[in-house]
Amino acid sequence: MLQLNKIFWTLTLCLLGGAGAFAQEKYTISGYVEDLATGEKLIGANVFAPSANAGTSTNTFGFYSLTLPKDSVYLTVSYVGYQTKTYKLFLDQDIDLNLAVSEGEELETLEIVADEMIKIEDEVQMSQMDVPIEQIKKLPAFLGEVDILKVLQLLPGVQSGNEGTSGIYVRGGSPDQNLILLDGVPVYNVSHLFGFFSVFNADAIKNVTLTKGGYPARFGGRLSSVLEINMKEGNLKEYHGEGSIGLISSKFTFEGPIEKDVSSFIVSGRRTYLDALARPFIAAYNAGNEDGEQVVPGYYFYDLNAKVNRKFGNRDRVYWSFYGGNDDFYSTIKYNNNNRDISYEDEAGLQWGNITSSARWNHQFSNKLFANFMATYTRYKFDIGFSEQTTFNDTDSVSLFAAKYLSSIEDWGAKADFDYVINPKHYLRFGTNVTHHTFTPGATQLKVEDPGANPIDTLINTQRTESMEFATYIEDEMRFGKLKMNVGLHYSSFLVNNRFYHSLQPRIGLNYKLPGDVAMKASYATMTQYIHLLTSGSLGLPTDLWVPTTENVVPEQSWQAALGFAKTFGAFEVSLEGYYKNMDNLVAYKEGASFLGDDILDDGSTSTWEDKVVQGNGTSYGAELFLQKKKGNTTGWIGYTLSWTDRQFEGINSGNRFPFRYDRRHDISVVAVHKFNEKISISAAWVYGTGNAVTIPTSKHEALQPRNGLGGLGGYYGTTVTRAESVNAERMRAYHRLDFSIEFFKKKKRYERTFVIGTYNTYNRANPFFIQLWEQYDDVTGTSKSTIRQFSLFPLIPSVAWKFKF
Amino acid sequence: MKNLIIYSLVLIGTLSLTSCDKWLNGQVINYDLPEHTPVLALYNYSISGENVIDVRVGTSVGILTDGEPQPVDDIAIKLYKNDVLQQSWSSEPTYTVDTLWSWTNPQTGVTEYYVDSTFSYQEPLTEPISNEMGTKYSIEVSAPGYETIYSEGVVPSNVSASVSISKDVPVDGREEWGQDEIGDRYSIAINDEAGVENNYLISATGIYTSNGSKHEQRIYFNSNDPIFEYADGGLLVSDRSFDGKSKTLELEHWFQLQEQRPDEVKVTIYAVAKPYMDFNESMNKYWNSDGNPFAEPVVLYSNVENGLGLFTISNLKEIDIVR
Repeated sequence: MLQLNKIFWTLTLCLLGGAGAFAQEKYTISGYVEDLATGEKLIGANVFAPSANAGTSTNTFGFYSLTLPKDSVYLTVSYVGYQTKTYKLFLDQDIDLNLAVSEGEELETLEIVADEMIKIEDEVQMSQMDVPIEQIKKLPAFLGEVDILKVLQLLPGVQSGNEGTSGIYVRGGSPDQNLILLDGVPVYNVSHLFGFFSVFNADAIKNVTLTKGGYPARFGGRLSSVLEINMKEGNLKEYHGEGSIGLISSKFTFEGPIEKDVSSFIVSGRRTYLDALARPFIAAYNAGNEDGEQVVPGYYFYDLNAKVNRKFGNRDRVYWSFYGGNDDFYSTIKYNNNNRDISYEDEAGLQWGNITSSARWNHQFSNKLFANFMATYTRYKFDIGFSEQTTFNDTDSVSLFAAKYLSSIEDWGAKADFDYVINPKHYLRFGTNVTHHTFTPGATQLKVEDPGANPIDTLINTQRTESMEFATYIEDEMRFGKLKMNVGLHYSSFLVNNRFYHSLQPRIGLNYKLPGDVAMKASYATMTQYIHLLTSGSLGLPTDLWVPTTENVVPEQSWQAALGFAKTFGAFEVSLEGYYKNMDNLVAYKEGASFLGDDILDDGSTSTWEDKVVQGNGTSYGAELFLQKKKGNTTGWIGYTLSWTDRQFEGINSGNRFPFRYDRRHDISVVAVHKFNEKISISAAWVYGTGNAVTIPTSKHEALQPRNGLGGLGGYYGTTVTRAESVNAERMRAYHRLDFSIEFFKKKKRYERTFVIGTYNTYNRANPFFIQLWEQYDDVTGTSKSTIRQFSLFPLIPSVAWKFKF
Repeated sequence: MKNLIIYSLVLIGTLSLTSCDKWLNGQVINYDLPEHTPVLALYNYSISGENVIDVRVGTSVGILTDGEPQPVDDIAIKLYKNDVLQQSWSSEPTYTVDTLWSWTNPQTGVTEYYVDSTFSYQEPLTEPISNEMGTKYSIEVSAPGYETIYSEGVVPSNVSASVSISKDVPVDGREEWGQDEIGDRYSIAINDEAGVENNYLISATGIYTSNGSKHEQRIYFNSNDPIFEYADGGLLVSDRSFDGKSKTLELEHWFQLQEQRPDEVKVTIYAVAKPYMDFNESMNKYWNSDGNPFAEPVVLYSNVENGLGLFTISNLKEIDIVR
């Protein structure tokens, strides 16, 4: 027993830094890294001490902590798009030190120092990508509207869905398998305008980080990726505004101090005006409509981001952030028959939108222990419906029939996260969170009013389910010479309808430095997902339903293993990764089922969503190459993905394995931004992807069904039917497209303006949106001819935007 | 810089105007579909007690091939019972018109008749199809130029059922839809065998007398009971909710206004095998998704190896009722 104790304590001491850690006198420098001009905290900024060959990065809140031997210390601070800055100090006690850097290109004289900064081969984390928001804003934008998710689609391992849409498919996963966090709060539907734009307004965003695999233990709840999007905090020094006027939307952002260097705010709003632009044309159409019918269709979306924060001393800071957005697609038809003294008004519409909000308290307990406490709220809902109202003007009575289908998910959550920098060899993170979900995946509201009859206003088939999700984690980022690793455990549980599920998920990430400064990285992670998105067809519409794990539908689970290499060659970062992902208990609609329309079951009850789904599994594996240049007048990247993804569900494709719709063998992206001078810059993005997998009939034959009873002697109905060999066995044409934009920048007396001209699909490639077997009947010969017809969505689309900043 | 902006705008505007010509009605694209090798398509719905087998055989054609799939006229068939060859035959087909449609050429005024059909190969059996549950039948069909196809079916449970009729009772017919609200109600009591997944198909034929002669006509049953699914051959019901128990199913026969009532009714209750259910379900899904470009297409069920179609054996019970 004594021997065991000895071994235990020896191992513990070794793990916590070894005897060497205690031999030298060491002190800790900690604080925040911030933008010198705005006071904005910088996430992922590098703080490096070349003499000690030690460094760290700021966390999600801009906090760093670095423990070094007592000595004179040169501390270099670097961040993409900012000048590297070196601080000199003598370290003989623990120090609180906020470090500030200025925006702009690095000075040549600091290049040597910059080479000493933390590089891709130094980071333990693999399969993670940061795209600087300033770079995102310089890339070509569809209709002039910068879209963060569309930029992420250009990264290896991340695939777009259909033409023009914002959904992301990470390493063979579906969009619901991405945990998308806006200031730490899940966003359940990221699309505006049926997916052609995302809900994230780039002007209000500070930082975007995507983790595709090798998930540290602090993340959980989704199978395929974690996308962290952080809003700006607001300028602590002075008031500033920026905005843009585009072809279909405009936006405006205003930020500034509430109390200089103590408290600040930012507000950003955006709205489309397709509805307003179309109004005169609709009015002209209606004026020419002699039968008196007035048709008013329309669509718009808006969103609003807001955030305030306040410091309380140097160790406390509180934040409140809010996002609200809504899409409204509507159509009204009015008809007034003066002769009959009757008027009709028919309305149909689809509305959807998110609200998210978080209140956060950052507290620095010591130079080594940082904490973030958070309360969160998020809600997504959509409704689709129609109403028919008839007004009898002579009797002043109204007849009304209205039906609306509603669905929503609403979460309340609380979390606590701690960063404890034990010593240079151990960075410990631990925390816990709890979320209360309320799912209302489908309810129908009926309203009937008739003269002389009792009105009906009822909600039927409400399938409201409440559940609690709990998670706790601990992870340690360790450094032992050439070996660095992040080892952690994530435990999660889910309580729904008195059914309790739980899961223990081990996570490990390794980085071993090979000769030649090449890092070999490996990771293994398991994930569990308790909530599911039921997607109708293949489009990913706002009408997709979020549903919980239940007694009948078990949690989705995955494990992913990855191996890769990374190295920096001068200004270029190169990484090559291979991965294998296994997914179990995936949820899909049964063949022929959809969110609308309830069936009557054998026992006479109405079907719920659970009766319409089937669970199955999937695999995804492949390799990704990423070459990125983040600095200089020319920046950009080349990404290449080679991958295979499939699915298997009982009852779909006769239970046989079939390719996932977005199984894309080759995916290439080339992205470049070049700054000619202070006034003109250009950017271009070219993408190529293997065509989507699609089910196309390949043959036809005569199918026979008995006319009456069975037995061939009773006769048959004979029909020519088409038959696909297998689900998703064929391919659409390859997808490729070049986007281009040119920016003209000018500094005026009181403001800066940028004029952006761009093209989407510059060489006018007819990319497939969907394809269909098309039968054309010939009146003359009386015969039909079959062809396969491809429908495309976007030809070359020009865009012009005028941006301003003051 | 002003000139550069103007030139850029003009260039992009010109490109845009020339790019919108081919987007509206889709483009006819020659997709490289794998070349389809025609295969034999077999349909046979045999039932216990039959002493003539009716095998329908056609072929498949590539989806982009002009014209309809054609029947095959030179085939050889082997029928096995419990893996022992029962009989084989090779014969000219007996042509059967299953679906007939016409088209009048507007220029010539000539009406032409077209037949969508497979060829029917009817053959007397040396012994009737067994009604013994679990008996396995296999069929092998070959034709020159085609790969030999194979399928097998197993005789399902025997049907134990009785039927009673209530004549001229109020039913759910709708007068405004031309239906009489007085009809017949049938109570069909099924004694289900326990521990076996049974599926039943219920159909009926009415025997009518007019002008002194008798003729038969199909009767369409109706029911609001969600336990039923509609199939071309009749009403389908699964024993999921009454496995191993007795179950009385209520069905109605609605008449059109002034419609003649049958003198006798022959109610047939089939125990159908799972392949039949799977095929029927996939056909229903096929028609539901037909024409919807966003719906996931359905891969039609087939239990024929190396080919297409369905081979299935059913058991039955016929009950005659004098109305």
